[in-house]
Amino acid sequence: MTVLGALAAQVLHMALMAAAAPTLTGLLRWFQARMAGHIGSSPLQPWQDFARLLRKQSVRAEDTSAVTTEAPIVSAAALAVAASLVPSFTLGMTFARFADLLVIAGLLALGRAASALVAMDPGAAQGGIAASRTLLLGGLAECALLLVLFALALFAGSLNVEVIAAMRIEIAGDWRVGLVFALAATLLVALVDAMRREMLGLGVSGSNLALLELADALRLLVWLDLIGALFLPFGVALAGAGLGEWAIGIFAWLLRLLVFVVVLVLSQTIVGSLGLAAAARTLGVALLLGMLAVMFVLADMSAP
Amino acid sequence: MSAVAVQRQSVTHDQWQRLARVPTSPLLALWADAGEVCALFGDAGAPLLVATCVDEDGYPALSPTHPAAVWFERLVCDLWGHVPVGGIDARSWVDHGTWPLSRPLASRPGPPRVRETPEFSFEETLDQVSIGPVRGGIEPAVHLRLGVAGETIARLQLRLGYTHKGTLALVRGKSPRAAARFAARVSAAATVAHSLAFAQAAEAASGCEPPQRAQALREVMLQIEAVTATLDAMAAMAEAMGRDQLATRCAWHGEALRRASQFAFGHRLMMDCIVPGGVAGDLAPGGDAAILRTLADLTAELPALRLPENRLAGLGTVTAELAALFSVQPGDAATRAAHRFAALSQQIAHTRDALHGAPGDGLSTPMPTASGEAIGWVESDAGPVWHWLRLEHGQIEGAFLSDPAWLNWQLVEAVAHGSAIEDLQVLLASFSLSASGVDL
Repeated sequence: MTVLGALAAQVLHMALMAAAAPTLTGLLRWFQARMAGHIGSSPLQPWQDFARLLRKQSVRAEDTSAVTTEAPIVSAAALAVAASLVPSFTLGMTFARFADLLVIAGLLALGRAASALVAMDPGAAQGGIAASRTLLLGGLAECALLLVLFALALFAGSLNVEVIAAMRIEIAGDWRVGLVFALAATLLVALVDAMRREMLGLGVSGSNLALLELADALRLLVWLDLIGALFLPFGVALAGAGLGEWAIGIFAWLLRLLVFVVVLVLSQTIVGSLGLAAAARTLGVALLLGMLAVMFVLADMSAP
Repeated sequence: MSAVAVQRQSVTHDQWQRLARVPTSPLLALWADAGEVCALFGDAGAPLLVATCVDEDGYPALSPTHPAAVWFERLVCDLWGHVPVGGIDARSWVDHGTWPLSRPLASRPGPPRVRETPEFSFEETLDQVSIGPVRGGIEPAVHLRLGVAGETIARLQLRLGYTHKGTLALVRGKSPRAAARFAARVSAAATVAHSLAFAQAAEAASGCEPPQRAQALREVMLQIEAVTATLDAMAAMAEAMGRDQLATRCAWHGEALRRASQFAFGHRLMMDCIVPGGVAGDLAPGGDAAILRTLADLTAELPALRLPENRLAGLGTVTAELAALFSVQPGDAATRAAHRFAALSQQIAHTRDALHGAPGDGLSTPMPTASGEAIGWVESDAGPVWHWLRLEHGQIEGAFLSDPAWLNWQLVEAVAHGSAIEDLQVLLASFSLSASGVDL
């Protein structure tokens, strides 16, 4: 029964993630447009965009290699796997024991690198600039993320998302300094990731572009789910929970996503567009916070 | 706004070169007319029109001492075929080799040029980024080529000429009334300024005076255009900086004013509303109230429309020397934004004054069939608009319509180095640029 339940949870989770990713991006754009004083396109617009792009044929620049056709698949697949690992409404899914934070960070990096390769492939300047910016910011973001993961692993004694999340649910009131720093660092990284959208898809079209956009949408969702699961796992059902707890979990998950969208758009409205130098500086701060998180967690552990 | 009937001073090549060596006053424009090359020096108060004859070799170039002359010399070479002797840039300008003939304004046009666009020249060490001429969105058709080192722009070069309309050939041999439509279409963002400069030049050349009410209405239109142009420029800057809300508000007010213009004058941009001799029509009943209402809305929200200047400081700094060469204000993008914002309330006040003081009822006077030569000058949002006309028995024999974009694009080229690639859009938005204005 538990095996079946875990499988059902996994399937439901994946379906929810697939449904949520484009809608979340659409919602983000809609809210941004509203804040800018426009009517804004429907939150379901990304779905229509996907449908439109999939109907179109893929046009390739003359000098492109197989990277242009294959790398979007790698990127979307990496993000899809990452999305299936990060818990949304319940713990104890079938893939739980693979949900290692290092694996998730690696998948995020893989997706980013594949997208950057797509942008570089036609050899045009704009794509190259976008790729170099992506990789520059990506490098900084991954470092900050790894530090946060290290802090969390020290704290929970495991790198598994589910173990950490379960522990966070158990001791929900425990907000030791190290964790606050870790949360702040992760928030900054997610913010920069969401606010800087490089034009990586300039050289591709049709289904390849659809895949790149899907990967983008999934990345945003994975970030938000990671923050939710690691730091604010309110309402997440535990392994082996019943349908009622699942319903609460789904509701809490949707609520969390909504709050994140509001926070993202509001910070964007306040800050304006984030320049490359400002983004790099922000990630530098995140890196520093990650370092502090590790130090404070270590200090906590060595204290009697 | 003013118009001056000018007497051009014909000088020898030696005097011309001597004049070129003393950079006392900035060069405003350079063109050719009937075997002579004319240069307009000075400022609004005292324009100086000098001409020198072109012999079989060409004429002495001004570009070694006046950087502002480079593009004009290339244009003169493309359209009239006059060669600047000692010029620092011999590349073509508007003629990309797609015309059925070359030197269209020369007395004897030549065979078509080989199809080629002017080449760029960059140092080997720089990476090149090409942008345009089609850039998506509603942007001037211009090819920008950046020479970049990492994320920093080391050099910027432009290729214009994509929106060449043959305006100078089209206005030749026409009456000022008929040619005014072409002058109004030099640049849509400054259509009133161009129409007005053209009308003033035509009136001064033929010695006629438009009725008082027409003059007042012209002032109203000019100021409304200045307000909308300023709002457009502010919206463009805000958008480039990611301040979407501010951009929307600026654009919203611009749109409201355009609708009021549509109601009051019959055209959103007031295109063709000014004709030589007066104005095309009177203000619609209630039109003044509509404009005043829109301006009141704008004034109420004005303090909230100020741009945050944190990303503008130090961007695209026009040094004092550069400013003297091109006769513009020195300063960086922040200065320009602040300048614009300060100008906005003045422009609103001027519009109100002009609306209140529109006496009389005459709208236009017939243009006499006269001969003469004159310059019309109008200050637009982007800078001064100069029109030079030479009439022979009521027909245009020679014309040159100069847009402020001539100077602004050159300034962009001169100040772009050192800014981040990312700030290019902000930099471009901080100058009011029009491709059509220079492509003629």
